[in-house]
Amino acid sequence: MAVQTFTTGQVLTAADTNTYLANSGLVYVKQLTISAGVSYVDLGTCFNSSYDNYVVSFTNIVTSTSASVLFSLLSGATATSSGWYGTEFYCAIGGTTWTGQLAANNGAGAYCAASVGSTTAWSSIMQLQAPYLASYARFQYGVIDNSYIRNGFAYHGANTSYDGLRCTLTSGTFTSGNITVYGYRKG
Amino acid sequence: MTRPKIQIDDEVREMTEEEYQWLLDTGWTEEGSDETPTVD
Repeated sequence: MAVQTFTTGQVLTAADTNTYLANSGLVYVKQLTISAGVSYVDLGTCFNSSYDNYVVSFTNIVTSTSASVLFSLLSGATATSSGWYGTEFYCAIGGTTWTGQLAANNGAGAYCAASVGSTTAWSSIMQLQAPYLASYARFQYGVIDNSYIRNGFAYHGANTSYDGLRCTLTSGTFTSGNITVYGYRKG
Repeated sequence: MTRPKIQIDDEVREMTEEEYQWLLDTGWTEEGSDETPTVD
């Protein structure tokens, strides 16, 4: 049961407490603290049948140089090698003009952030649907660094189940930051 | 030549030749630019 309304005088048992604490809407799955000097990071076994939809949170990501980040999915240790399509829109902070750019065109991954990083950190929230289901996976994200805001959308056009994610820089290496995966409770 | 490092969960190691080839196939370069890149 996802929701329980307790009444005055009703005994709140330990079992009830544990059940309803565990029944929160968004459930922590896994976090990775990025080590300095790596070109890509893998979060393995973070998608499973417990959840269909996920939030992927990128916090204070710093990279060695200005670069873009490609998001791809993993089946075990094997990353997608093609099939990503997407578009990103960006606007200078304080500006009002949005510019679109290709985020993927049958690529191994799709941008989940473009031209970010170097000496300034960026953070992002991604909504990810159905990576573990044998259907198309899709994501939407918003990212902000000290210069630009970006919104992007992408899908992976294969009816394949994936259990992990990979974030790859287009150049240079990661310096720091963390990536956290949460699952949306289904019922 | 030393290949770049990767992180798999908490493990950090030098990537294998196969992993390095996947990285190169994505268009990865050692040094970046300040331009907004495009995907072709």
